[in-house]
Amino acid sequence: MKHKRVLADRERRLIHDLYPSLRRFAAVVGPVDVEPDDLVQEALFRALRHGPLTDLTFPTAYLKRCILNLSKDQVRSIVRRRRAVVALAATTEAFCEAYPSDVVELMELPPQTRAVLYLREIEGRPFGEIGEIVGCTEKAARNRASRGRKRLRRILEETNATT
Amino acid sequence: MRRLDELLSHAAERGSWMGPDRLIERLECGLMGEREVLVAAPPRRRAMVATREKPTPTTEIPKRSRNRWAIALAGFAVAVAAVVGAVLVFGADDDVAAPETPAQVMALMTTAIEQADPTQFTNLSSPASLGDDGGRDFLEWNLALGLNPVFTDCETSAYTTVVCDVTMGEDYFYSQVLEENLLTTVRVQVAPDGTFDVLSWPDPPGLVLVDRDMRTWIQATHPELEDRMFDNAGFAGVLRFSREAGELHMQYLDEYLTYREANS
Repeated sequence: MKHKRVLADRERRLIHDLYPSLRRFAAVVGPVDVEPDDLVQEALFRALRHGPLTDLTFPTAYLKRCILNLSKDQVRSIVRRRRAVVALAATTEAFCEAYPSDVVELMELPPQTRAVLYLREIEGRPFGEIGEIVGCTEKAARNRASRGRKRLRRILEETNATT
Repeated sequence: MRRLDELLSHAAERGSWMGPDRLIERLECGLMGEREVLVAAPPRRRAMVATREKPTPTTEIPKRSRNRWAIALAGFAVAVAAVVGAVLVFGADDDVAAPETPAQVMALMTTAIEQADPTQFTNLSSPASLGDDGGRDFLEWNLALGLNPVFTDCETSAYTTVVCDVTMGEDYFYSQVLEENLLTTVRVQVAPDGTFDVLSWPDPPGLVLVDRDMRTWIQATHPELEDRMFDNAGFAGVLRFSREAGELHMQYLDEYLTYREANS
């Protein structure tokens, strides 16, 4: 445990305050086989390379957007990797089974949709603000939430029917 | 809607919690190593949106002067001030309060915990990850679970913050379940009056999975105890922080360990 004192105390304190919220968001938005903490770390890392977090007017919103962008990129990368794996017939395992099936079903929704649902249902943010965080209009965020709920309901109904 | 809330809450707890301290440590290593950027971060905007989020308190960034003479002069002034200060401090009477050393602070915490009296902890705040649940119930619960911390490898930074490795004790509930004396990092801030404030005490990895597994086991074997031991609002969405909940955990520990062994 040797702290190298790269970050200023103000930055450390801010990260301490933001961590629980960012970590929960990353867990919902990120791919199931990526550790949420890794996403938070990467988002912070990239943000810090541009300058101190304390310079940001709305650091939480900025970092959440960063986490979402990283998640979308991770999903694309994972899809590419899976295709390669299938082509090589190296393995048939698609998901780790560490989490209950419900969560895996939730993870079938695109990261942006999960982000909209989480920001709306858990954090209770207005759609205008959600649109700004995920990078779309208020109307698009509203539509995305509606489509997400419908799609999730369909997935869950199909799963329940098969079991 | 309720189902969706549960799903999202469940998803929000997945994975193992690293904790802010470990995250910062890794960040610092990363920042020193400067890894390659794969995805561009979104553009930074001063005023992003109309949001309910509180703006970061901004302070004026001092302008950096390149005048070496000014720097040298300032350095000289600091050196003189330090010498004068040292003379004043060391030359003064003993009633001037000495700064707490890491060992003194941690001894103070250990004594308070050994006394097992949460009223001793009026100055102890809850870790940030616990939100508004309050540190007192959390401490009651931990004491009932047999917490017996040993602090080692302490470092002091900025004269007020102490960072130590801490082992939770062999008899601690989670140490017994996970079969190792659990280790984490604790960060304590010491105020000028000698009181202390726990800034963070992150959980070692694996505890959330134990909590969920034990809840499932209690639901199956002792359903009447579930409400007394678990909650949907506490940490990781499963724990109820109270002395009674902790005592029940310890009471059923042997039975639970037998179940785990049979199912491993």
